[in-house]
Amino acid sequence: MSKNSHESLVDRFFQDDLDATEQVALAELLSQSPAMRERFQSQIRTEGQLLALTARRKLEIAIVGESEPEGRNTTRADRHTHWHRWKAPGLLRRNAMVIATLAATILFLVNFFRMPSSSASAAELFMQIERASLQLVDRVYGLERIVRRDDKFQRVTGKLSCRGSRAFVAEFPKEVIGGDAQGLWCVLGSTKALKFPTLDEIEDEHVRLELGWLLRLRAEPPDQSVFSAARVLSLVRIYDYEIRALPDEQDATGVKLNALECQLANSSDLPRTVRIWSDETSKEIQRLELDWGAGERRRAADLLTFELISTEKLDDDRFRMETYLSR
Amino acid sequence: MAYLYSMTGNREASLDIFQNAAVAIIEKDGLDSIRDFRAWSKEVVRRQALNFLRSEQRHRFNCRALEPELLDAISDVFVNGPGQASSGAEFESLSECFQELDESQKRLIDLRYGSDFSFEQIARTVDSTAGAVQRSIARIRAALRACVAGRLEMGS
Repeated sequence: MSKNSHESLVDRFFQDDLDATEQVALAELLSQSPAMRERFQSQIRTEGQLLALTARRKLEIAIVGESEPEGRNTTRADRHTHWHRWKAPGLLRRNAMVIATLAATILFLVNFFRMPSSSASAAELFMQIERASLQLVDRVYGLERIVRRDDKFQRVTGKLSCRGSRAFVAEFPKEVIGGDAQGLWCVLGSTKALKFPTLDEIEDEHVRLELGWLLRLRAEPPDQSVFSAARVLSLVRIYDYEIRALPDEQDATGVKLNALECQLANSSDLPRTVRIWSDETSKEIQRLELDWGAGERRRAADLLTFELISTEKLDDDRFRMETYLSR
Repeated sequence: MAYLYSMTGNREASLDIFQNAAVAIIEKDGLDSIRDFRAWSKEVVRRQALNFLRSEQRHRFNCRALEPELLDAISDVFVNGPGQASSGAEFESLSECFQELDESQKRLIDLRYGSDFSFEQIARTVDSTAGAVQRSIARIRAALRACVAGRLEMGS
């Protein structure tokens, strides 16, 4: 094999363009040729630099969103707190205004040339919605679970409070489930508290089934204790759901909404379909549906919906387990 | 991270492996007794990567499918290679070269490296074919590498 073809073999690896036989040939080449190993390492450095560069670009755009929690019921002091909590690296902090202006300009141009919104890329829209969902604000959603058992339907309503993706509390009639960076907890019937619960610890089969959906979502990698809209979106991304845009809608107050439908072919325990409705301007999720399908097997929830109620700042006690004991 | 990305082809999987390795390193008792910390920690990362890629977890992240021989060869390069890190000048040159790309080229790179999109997903996003996307990204990478090499040469 000539030097050119050796170099081509190395370069084509980074284009995902090698079949099994060529991969084995590359392995042999790397073990025998210091020059090709060096070329391989140089290509790897390029990969690393591109990862870092695109991460920095996302950070620059995210800073614009983090520092401007518009439309929230927040005070100037709260916005100041949010900015300092972010703790942007020194270089970015000093040049934040320049970067913010540049990022805002880029976003404006991208949106301008994507009009009308029905022609916007579904994947790009998903990225924008995910970025908005990561903003460090408090949100309260109405939750509704429709559960199917042996052809009978049961509807359970509750409330989900989220502090960004750092803490959450889901309140249902018979149980309260919460979590933060330390772990997951649940309070059953306002008297029994379990920290880091597993399904085995929960004796009541009915409650086990009702909590199962949440504990399964938590167990999927990367393991996290916080359930939030952002968490659902990260699962859509990690498990490579197919995303397509649905026609734009309007809510009851005339606010224009973008809509996405995300489908997973082999769902196992994950929802087969996730539907997202977001405010066209802020990209804040207004409604989220997790649909496990028609219920071929017993599931704790066949359809779970989130409906945004408010974004007012919440008391810290809302997220503490002790608050729900013996209420 | 770059080595992990070359093995997995997936940013999230690479982060997962990296975090697992970091935890293993932090939790190790008797770090003071390790003579060559760098070599040891590289070995920890290598084992975490190989365990991950040989387990069912790789399917969750849409990782690259590599022949075992190549996986071993890459991890060997990682552990035994000179470990030349990127210089600041190299990275800044890449940033400048990146700015010279047109918006559609930047978008392809953002989707591939920033959002972990497969060629098929990118193709659906930009209304093209996976093959065309693959070739475009290969050309953009080659152009960026040539641009960086040119700037570094001028700088020196």
